[in-house]
Amino acid sequence: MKHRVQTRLLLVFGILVTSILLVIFSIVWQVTRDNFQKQVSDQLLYTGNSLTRQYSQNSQSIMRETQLISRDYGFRSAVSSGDENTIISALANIQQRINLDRMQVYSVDGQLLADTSADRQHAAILRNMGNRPLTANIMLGNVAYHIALSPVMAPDLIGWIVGGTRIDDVLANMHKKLLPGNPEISFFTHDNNGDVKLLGTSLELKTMQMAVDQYVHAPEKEQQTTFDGEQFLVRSYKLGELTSGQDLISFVFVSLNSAYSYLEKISRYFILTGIFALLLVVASAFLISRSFSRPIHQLANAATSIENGDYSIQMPNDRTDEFGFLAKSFSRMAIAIDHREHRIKEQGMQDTLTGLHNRLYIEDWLSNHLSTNHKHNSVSVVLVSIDRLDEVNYVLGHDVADHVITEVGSKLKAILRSKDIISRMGTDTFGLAISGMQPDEVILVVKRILELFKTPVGVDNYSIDVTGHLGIAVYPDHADTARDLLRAAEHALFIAHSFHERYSYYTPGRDSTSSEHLSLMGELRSAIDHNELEVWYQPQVATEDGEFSRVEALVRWPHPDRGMISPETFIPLAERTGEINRLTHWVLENSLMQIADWRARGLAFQVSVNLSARDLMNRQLPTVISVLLRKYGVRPDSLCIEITESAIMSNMESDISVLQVLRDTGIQIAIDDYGTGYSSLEYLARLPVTELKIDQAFIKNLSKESSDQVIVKSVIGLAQGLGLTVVSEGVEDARAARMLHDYGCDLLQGYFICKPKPAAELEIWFDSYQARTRTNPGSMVKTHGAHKKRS
Amino acid sequence: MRYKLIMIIFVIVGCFPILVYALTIHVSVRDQTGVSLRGAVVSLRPLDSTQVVDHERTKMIDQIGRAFVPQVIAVATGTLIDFPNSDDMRHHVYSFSKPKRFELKLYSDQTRPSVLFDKPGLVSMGCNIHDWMRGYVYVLDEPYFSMSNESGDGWIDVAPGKYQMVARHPRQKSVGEKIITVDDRRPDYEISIYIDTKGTLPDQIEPPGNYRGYRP
Repeated sequence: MKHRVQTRLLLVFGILVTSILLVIFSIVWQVTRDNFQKQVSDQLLYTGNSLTRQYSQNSQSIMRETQLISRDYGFRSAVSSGDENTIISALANIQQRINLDRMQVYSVDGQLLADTSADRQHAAILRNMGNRPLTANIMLGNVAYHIALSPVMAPDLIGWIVGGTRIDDVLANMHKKLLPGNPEISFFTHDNNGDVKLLGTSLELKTMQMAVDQYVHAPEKEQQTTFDGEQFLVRSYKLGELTSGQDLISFVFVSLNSAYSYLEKISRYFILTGIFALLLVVASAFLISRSFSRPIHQLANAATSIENGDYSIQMPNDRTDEFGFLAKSFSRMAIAIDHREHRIKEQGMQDTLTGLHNRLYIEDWLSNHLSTNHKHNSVSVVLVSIDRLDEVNYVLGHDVADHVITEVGSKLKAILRSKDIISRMGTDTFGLAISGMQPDEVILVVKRILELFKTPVGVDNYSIDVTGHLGIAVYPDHADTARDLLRAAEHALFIAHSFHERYSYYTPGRDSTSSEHLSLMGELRSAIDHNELEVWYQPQVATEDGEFSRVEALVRWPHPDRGMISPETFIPLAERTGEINRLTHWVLENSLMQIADWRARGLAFQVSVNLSARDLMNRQLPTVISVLLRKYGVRPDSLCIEITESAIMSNMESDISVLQVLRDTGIQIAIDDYGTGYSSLEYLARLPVTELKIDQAFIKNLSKESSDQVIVKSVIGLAQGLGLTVVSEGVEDARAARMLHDYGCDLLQGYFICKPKPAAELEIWFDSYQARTRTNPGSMVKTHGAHKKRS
Repeated sequence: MRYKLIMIIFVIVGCFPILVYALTIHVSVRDQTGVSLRGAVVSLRPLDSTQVVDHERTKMIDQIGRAFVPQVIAVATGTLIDFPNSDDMRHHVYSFSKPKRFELKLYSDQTRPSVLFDKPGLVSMGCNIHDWMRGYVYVLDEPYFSMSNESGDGWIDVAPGKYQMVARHPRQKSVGEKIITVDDRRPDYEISIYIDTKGTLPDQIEPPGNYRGYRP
C-alpha cells in the first residue's frame, strides 16, 4: 500500500517532469537546430559566394601571372626565336617564380610551339578567339584547367601564352583552406554525354561521383546529405563554363557536424540538467511521498493494532503538521476506544442487579488466570446456589427476591478476600473463584458460607430463611481449563442438590452420578412404558367419624436392581427432564383404573393424584383428564388433584384458568403441602380449590410444638372459613389426631392411620379397618370426641 | 602637325628624284571598307627594269614622350637609324623581328646609338620598360615608297614604267598589292589593305596617363 502510493506519486511526478522536459527539449532542440541549420545555410551561401569570388580572383591571378610571363623579356626573346626547346627552357625558368601548373605557347597563327606538359594537348579555344587576353576553363585531355590566355607582344603579337592551374583536388583543397569554416569543395562538369564528371574534390569520397548525380537535377538548391556518417548541407554553384560549352560546377559542402556537435553538446547539457531535475523531482516526490506514506503506514499499522484489540499503539508525536495532528487524534481515539471498550466490557461482565461480576467475567478471569497461572497455584471455584429463590420470587415478589440475591451476594463478597472473584452465574447461583488456597482453607471458606445461610435475610419487614447448596471444583485437580473447571463445579453443585448435601466437591468418581441419573431417567421412561411403576394408596379418614372414603395415590418404583427408589429421587429428575407429564399421566390412568375397579366391587373411594407444576403448564391437561374419566367411566368428583403451593405460584394466572376448567368438570382440587411455602391467604380465596392439605412438617411435632399448634389451628380455622376441606398429613400419633379433631380438621392422613399400601393390601387393611370400626365404632371418634368434649 | 612636317620633309626628299624623272603619282590607300588609311607604306617594285634610287641613308627615331617618333618609318635597305632619347627617362628599345634584332639601352640623351637596317622586312620595335611603345621600321628593297598621310594619300615620285604596288600597314592582315603602269596620263592610283579591324592589338596596350601611342 505504501509502495503503491509512493510509486504512483513518483510515476506522476516523473512523467510530468519528463513530459515538460521533453516538450522544452524538443522546442529548444528544434529552435536550436533550425537556427543552426539557418546559420549553416547562411554559411553555405556565404561560402558559395566566397568561392565564386575566390575563383574569379583566381582567374585574375592566373591572368596576371600569365601576362607577367608574356612580358618577360627573356621569354619574349625565346618566343621570337620560335625554337621549342628555347621556349620550354624559358618557361621552366619562369615556372619557379609563378604558381601555374601548365603553360603553353602558341604561335600567332595558333600553332602549339611549346607545352610544359608532355601530352601537348592543343587548347582548341584559340582557333576561335580574337586577339585579346582572356581567362577560361578548359579541358586539356582529361584534366580541366583554369587558364589565362595572353598574347605575347614584342611589341607586336608574336605568339600566345596559355597559363593555367589544374581544376583538381589540390585546387579544391586550396579553396577549402581559404574559405572560412573550411567547407568541402568539389568541382564537376559534364562530359559530352551529359554525364557528371568529377574534376576535383576536397572530400576523399569515392562515392562522390554517384552522390552528385542527384544534385545536378536540382542545381543551386540547398540539399542535405550524408557522407561517411557526416552530415552536410550542399549547394551547387556555377563557376563558369568550359570552353567546350559545359558548365563548370562547384559543390560546396558545409558540414552540419560541427553545428550538430554543438547541438549535441547543448542536448547533452540539457539532458544532464533534465536528468538532474528529474532525479531532484523524483527524490523530492520520494521524500514527500515517504513523509506521507510513512505516517499513513504507521496509522494503518496502528489501526490494525486497534482492530486486533491492542490499544497500546505508539504514534510518532514529533510532527507538528496535519499528520502529527492526525497521529495525536489517533492516539487519543485509541485511548478513548480502549476506555470505552473497557467500560463496555466491564458492563458486559457485570451483573446489573448485584453490581457483582457476571458469568462472562469469571469465565474470562479464569481463562486468563488459568492460562497464565502455574499449575501449583491452585484455583478453587465454588458455586453457591440459593434454594427456593423462585418461591421467594413468586410469593414475595421480584423486589424481595432481588434483595435476597443482593444481600447474599454482598455477604458472600464480605467473606472473600479482595483478590478472590465473585460473580453471579445465574438467577440463584453465585460463582466464587478462590486462588492460592490450600484445600483445608477452602473448606473453611465453605463452612463460613454455610454458616452464613443460618442467618435469615431481612428484607423490609420479612425475615427470610435462605439456604443454599455449594459445588466446589479445584484447578488443577479437577480440570485444566476454565470451561471444564466451571462445568466440574456445576456438576459438584448438581451432586450436592441431588444427594441433598450442603456442599459437594467435584469427584471424578461421582461424575457417574450424572450418567447414573441419565440411566435412571431412561429406566424411568422404560418403567412407565412397561408398567413397572406401582401406585400405592394412603387412606385419608374423617376426623369426626373415622369414615374412610379417600386415598392419596402415591407412585412407587420398585427397581429390580436397586430396590424401592424414593419418589424424592426420581420425581425431581422427571420434572427436570419433562418425563413428569408421562409419569403423571401414568399415575392418573392407573388411579382412575383403580377407582373404576373399586367401584365395580362396591368400593367408592375418592383418589387424590399429585400434579406437578409442569403438568399444570400443559394446557391439554383438562382434556386429557376428561378423556381418561370417560374412558374408565369414573365420575369427576371421585378424582382430586393435589397441587403444591409453589407449583401454582410458578404461573399463577394460567394455572388458575386450568384449575378452573378442571374444577368446572367437577374434579376436586387440593392445595398440597400447605404452609411450607410462602403461602398467601389472598390467593386461597381466588383459587378454585376445594381442600387444603396442611404440610406434615406442622403435624409431625404438633403434639410438642405449641407454635405449630397455633398455626395448624388457625389454618384450619381459615380453611373452614373459606369453606375448604382440611386434610392433615403426617399424622403419626393419637395425640396429634386428637388435637386435630379438636381443631376441627376434616381429614387425617398419616402413619398413625395407615402407611401407603398397594391397592390389594389397602383393600385388606380396609376390611380390617371396617371390622375395627364396626366392633369398636368411633375408636377414633371416641378419642376425638373425648378430647373434643374436654376442650 | 608633326606628321605634316615629316610629310613635307618626305615630300621634299621625294621630290628630288622626281625632279630627275619628273613624274609624281598619287596613291590613295584605303582599308577593305573603303576608309582611307593613314600610316600605310606604299612601295613600288619595278617589274620591267632595275632602277636605283638614292635614298637618304641616315634616319632618326627619337623617343619623345615615351613614344617612338616617328612611329612608323619606311627606309631603304642599308639605312642607319639613330635612336636618340629626348625623354628624361630610360628606354630599352628592342626588336625581335627577323630583319633586325637589336637591343638598345637608351639613357636620357647620353648616347645616340645607331642601328643599321640592312635586311628588308618589317622590324617591330618595342620598349621593354614601356610596353605600349611601338615603333615600326619598314626596311624596303623597293626603289620607290611613300607613306599615306592622314587622309590616306601618298605621293610617290617615280619613273614611268610597270610596277608592282604593295601597300603595308602595321595592322594589316594581308598586304595590298597591285600591278600598275606609270605614265603621264594616269597620276592617280588607289590601293586597299585588308586591315584587322576586329583585333585590338596593338591598340589594346595603351600608355598610362595622357601619353598616347600610335593611332593609325
